[in-house]
Amino acid sequence: MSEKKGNGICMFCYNNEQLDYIKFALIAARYAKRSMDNIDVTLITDDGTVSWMEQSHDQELIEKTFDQVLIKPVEYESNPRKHMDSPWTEFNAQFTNSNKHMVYEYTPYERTLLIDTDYLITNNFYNYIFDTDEPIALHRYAQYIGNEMPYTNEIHLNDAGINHWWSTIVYFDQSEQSKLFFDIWEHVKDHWEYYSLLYQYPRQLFRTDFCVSIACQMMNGFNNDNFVHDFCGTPLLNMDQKDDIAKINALNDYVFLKHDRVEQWKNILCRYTDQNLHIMNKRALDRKFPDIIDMFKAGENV
Amino acid sequence: MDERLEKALEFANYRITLGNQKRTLKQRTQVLQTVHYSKGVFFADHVTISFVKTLLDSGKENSILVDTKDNPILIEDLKEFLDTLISSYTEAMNEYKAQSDKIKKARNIKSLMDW
Repeated sequence: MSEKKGNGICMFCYNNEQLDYIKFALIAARYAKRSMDNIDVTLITDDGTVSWMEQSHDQELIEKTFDQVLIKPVEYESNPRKHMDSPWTEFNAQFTNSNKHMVYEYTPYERTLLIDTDYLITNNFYNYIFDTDEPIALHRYAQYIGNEMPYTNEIHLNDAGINHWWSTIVYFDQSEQSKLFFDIWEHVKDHWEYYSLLYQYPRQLFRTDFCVSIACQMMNGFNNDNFVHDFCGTPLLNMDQKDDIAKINALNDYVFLKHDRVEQWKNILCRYTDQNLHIMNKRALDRKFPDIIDMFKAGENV
Repeated sequence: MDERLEKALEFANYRITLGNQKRTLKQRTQVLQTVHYSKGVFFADHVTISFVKTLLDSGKENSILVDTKDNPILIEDLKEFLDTLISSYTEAMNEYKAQSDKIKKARNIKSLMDW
């Protein structure tokens, strides 16, 4: 009998030399609590990151934000990832994501929404999923701000490949089917090179999106069946790493500076209100951290 | 730059931004119209609402409907389902109208973005 209880959100957070993921986790958790009836949030992290969190943020903010902090050290595996901050600035940072599949075991909840720390939940869209008996749900479709299509390798794993699914948001319960899903994820991780040849995706960067894409394809009977729920076909809304946050009018009202993919020096302003946002330009989010936290504090004082 | 050309470019940029905001709003409305019911996914538009109302008017209390994923879904309580559809539809349309009115009033990029 499972001891896990209730509904909640889990997020993984391992800092690196370039990006302070704790800031992102604080923002993402505050947004989730604000939009989903003060839902429980568990942070899964390591000693070094927790120590930095305690040094750099006040205890009150941490306690208000995270209901539980689980220390789960992760073995270092080199996984450098290229990041962009506008079309003109590029940097590399270690990407620690090798234990994300362990969330099935780590979660204290019976029904869990696993979210990335760069995902801002600004409405109650995901509430419905906790009232269903869907074992697993992920986003199958995505869209970039400015109504831009995803890149080709974000629709299929290769030109003639299987569907791409996003691991940014994963809902799961404690059923046998969910366990199977995470077991496949782990299996793909452990045999990364083999699967990269089989499914023809670049093996240099370990991406959990590819693991879940393979797991979804297998669980859908090696075709495009709909055993895995796709959040009613709703697309994930991504902000490109080459775009920037121009202004935050309110916590649920963002203005972005969106670059033109063909003529990168051209930009357009796009405004999004009450929409869940995947902020892929992490430095942009970092720059806005003080503003966002101040808005949350101001909201509490009203 | 020639002042007339500058104004023309400014207006063109405004129209691009406006068109973009309209598309975004339409997509947001479609998300709000999506209903998850009895393990099926339905779209709360006038067609679905009218069909369910027709079934109810012809004396049916339950029925099988094909959802947007082409799955046959047994709706055990058509009345409750109709209420859910109408609720989603109304919420979506209210937001669509309110946001659409705001966009209509904005005559330049600055006011569109609430800068």
